[in-house]
Amino acid sequence: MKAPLMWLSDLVRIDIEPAELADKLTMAGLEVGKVETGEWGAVFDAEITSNRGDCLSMLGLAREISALLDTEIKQPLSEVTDGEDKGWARVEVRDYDLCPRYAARVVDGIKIASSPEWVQNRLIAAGMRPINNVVDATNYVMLELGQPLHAFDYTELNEGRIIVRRAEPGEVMISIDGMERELDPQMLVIADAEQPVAVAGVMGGAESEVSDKTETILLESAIFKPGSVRRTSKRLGLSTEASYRFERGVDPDGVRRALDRVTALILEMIPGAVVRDTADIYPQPVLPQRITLRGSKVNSLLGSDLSLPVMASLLRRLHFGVIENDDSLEVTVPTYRRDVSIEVDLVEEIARLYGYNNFEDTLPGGLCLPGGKNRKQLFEDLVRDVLTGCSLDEAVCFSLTDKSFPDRLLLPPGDDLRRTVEISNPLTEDLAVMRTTLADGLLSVVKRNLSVKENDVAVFELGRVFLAIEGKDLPEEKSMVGIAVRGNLWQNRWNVPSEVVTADFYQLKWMVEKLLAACGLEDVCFAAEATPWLHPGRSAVVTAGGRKLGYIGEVHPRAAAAYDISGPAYLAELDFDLLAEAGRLERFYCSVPRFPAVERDMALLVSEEVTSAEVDGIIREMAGELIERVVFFDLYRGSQLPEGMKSLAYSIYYRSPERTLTDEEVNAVQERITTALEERLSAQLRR
Amino acid sequence: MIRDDLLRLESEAHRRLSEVRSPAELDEVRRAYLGKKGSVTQMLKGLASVAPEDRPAAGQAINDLKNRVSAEADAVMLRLETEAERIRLEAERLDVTLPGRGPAPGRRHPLTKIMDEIKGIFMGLGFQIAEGPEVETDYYNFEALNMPSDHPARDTQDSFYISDNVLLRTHTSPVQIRYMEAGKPSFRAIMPGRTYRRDAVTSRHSPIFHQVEGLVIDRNVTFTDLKGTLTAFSQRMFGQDTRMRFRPDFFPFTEPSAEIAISCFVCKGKGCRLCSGSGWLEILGAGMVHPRVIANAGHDPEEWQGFAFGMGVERIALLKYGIDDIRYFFENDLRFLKQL
Ligand SMILES: [Zn+2]
Repeated sequence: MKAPLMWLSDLVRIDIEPAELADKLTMAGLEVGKVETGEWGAVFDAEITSNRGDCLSMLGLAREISALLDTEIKQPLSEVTDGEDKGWARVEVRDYDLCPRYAARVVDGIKIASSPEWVQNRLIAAGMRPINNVVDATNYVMLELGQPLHAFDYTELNEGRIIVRRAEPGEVMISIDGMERELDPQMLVIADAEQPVAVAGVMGGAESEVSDKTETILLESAIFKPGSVRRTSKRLGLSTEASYRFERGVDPDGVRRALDRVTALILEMIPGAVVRDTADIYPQPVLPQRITLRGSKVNSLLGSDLSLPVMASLLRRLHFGVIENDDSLEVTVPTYRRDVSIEVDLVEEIARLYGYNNFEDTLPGGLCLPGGKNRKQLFEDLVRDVLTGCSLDEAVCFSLTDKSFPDRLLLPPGDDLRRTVEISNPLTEDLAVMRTTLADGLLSVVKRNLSVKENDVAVFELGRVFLAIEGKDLPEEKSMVGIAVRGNLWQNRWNVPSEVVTADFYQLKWMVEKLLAACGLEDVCFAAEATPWLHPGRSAVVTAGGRKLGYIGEVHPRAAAAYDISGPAYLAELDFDLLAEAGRLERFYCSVPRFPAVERDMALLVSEEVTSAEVDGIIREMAGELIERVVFFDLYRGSQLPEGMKSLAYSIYYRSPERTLTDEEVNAVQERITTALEERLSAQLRR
Repeated sequence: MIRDDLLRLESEAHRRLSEVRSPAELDEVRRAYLGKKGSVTQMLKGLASVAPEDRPAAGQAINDLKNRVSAEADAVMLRLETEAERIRLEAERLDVTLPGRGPAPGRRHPLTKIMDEIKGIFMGLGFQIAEGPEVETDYYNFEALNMPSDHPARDTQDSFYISDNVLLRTHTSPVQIRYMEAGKPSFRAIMPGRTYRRDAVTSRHSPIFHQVEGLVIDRNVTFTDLKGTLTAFSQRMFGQDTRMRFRPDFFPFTEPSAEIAISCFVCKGKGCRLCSGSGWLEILGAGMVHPRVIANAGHDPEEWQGFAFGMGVERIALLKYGIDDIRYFFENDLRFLKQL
């Protein structure tokens, strides 16, 4: 809100520099962004928080300034008679719940012209456009006192009547901006005997607008309920100086003063004007609120040691009425301070005027638990440690995306991941639904980097996905870990064989294995199983202890194409919540072996269908307790081998914690393994 | 006579050893003198023809010669080996100016790093870390925080709605309510998380961003504790010489409410581009938790009181790293991610 210093100076004595005043106002909670100095002298631009509707006027700001500078306020008052011609101002308020007070005055003998220069100048300095003497007078008084006012052309009001009521279904009104407004029964309107002539507290109607021919006016000074004005203003998409003030609360006690003030101004500007009649419907006058303020409460909340007299004097400077008791204050709150209704509101007033920076700095005492992270948060750290250790950079993607992501990911109709949470009022189409998988975001990261010629992408994300649950308000929120790799994994790789550094299924699998191992997961299994957006022959589902953790694989060429990704790209995504639940952070020592291991290599000729997991399983099963580990070290296919066959080679390490193993023992085990492999997988030992 | 022979033999052996160029040649020379049929060995065998009284002296002299030649041969061997090693190592010389190779370590996202830093400081001050849902009910996001549906403060928090009653949380404050509902006072926790507002994507605003909320509730937590805690945090985060400015502000869920600025760490308060010439950077909103909020969460505000605060993670990251566009955080351009 713009406040010219010249106008404020009418109401309060200001004997400090504008910059200093701006700083004082800012430090009292009325942030003055800048002080402009120009044609109209210094003009303050104050940002008024939504609780301080009382400061949306020169008078309101002047009151704050008087408190800050501890000086008197000069109240603008005008004496006007109510008029003798009873029956001119015929006002009926039907919906008191939305209109606690309605005052109107009919003024005759109006001659519409420009307002005097001093009025125009003040309006311009405060950021408003002069229109004509009557409208300018209403705006002037609104700026001065904070009471929105409206002038109707009295002769345009059917039967000269004002009826304050809710709109009827289907009613419409052309507002003064020329727009046709559809009204509904939740909106309060000002109507004449036949139709709405204004949307209460928001905007007047075009038909009853003051024009050059207007000779008689009806001035409105009223209070409309903040919530109702706000709803109406929102529904009509129409915010005005009036609605802005009504939403934030206008002083019911100031209605008559504003009406008198605007009348006096009009009478002064238009010599022939006469007051005919005045109405003021105010069935339940608002009384100033009284609050008991305990001195102990003030000091206990603020951590201060202020005396009651100091508190009382601070409140009096803010124009509160104060009676001092032994250990409390009886405080009377002016009706314009609608933001002050309970004890703590007064505590803030005291703190605000005392100055926040004049309070000490202390740290909370008392017992507290040691600070720290919970199990899930520790796993988050672990995941980030392991994956950055795998050379992956962390990405942070939007959790909102467009509606067609399930199509890009080739999700079949009815797929679980199509249970999206939709935004009912999206800002743009590309942020319209919540993600149900990290895949879309990660593939978009690959896409974006390829578009700027960053061809080597290795990223991970730890973030939430959202799945709608039928019959429930809130969706399921799950944390997931996703990895996307494409291109070279090493930036500096001169003369390094490409299979060492190029992202492929097994490189990604290594990362996933490292992650699962670091999280202490046991019984991890990778089983060939397709995921819609992955290559059916190059994807697996990852389980731990039989529970599905996620998937890993090469991106399906059609999905890759949907993201403009050329060449193979690889994705993995794991359920982080499950990982943290099934994982283990505790570590246990296991004695360092005292006896040597025996290593035996074994190369097997098997048919293509046989998987390494099958071979591995049989080796472990047959070797029993003596096995320490089985390391796969070679896969060979070639012309030397029979059609449809491949060679798999393993190093098997045997060890006993009690003794050095003999060749005979190990040979016997090897024999059992070989026999089982031959019998169950038709494997041939290659010698 | 033997003496002459020995002298001649020794000088000849010395000459030949000094000419040796390879281990094979050395072997040959060694054999020629010290081998079974070598000259020195032959001379030892010829001792039988020497007069018995001269034999001990002659034997001694031949043995001395044998030792000397053998030692010299050993020395030559060492010289050859040293030389061979020198040549071999020389041949293995690398261009040490070629770049190192190997996988580069990955990096945490800048927002994660800032978040970790904030968490670390508050954990040191005895805070727990709590979390809550991103999709919230109107009740937790607004209503319970003393922002009824017609409250104009909602204007600044334009929301993405799922239905009339469900929205994407506009701040992390609803976690305060959930956290207080779920436990018994006292409370001391921060609540980091993702938040949403219906703002267009610009260099200053992102519809998706992150906040860290904090809450301290006990029997006698005060406004001065709020000041002290946030001063301690800011000085750890931005440097020990950071100065603080607390001024009144308005949040429906705190009373009194404060807006907190730190002295600009670039210009130290003189005024620069970062702080738009003011010398101050606004980083935190805070206040004493409104009694209605404490009551809404199921506790007696006459018994329990305390403070809450909130800050924008992107804002702090922008300031700390000197980034001029918030969009970088979510574009995931590797040229950005690999810098920080
Ligand atoms: Zn600066």
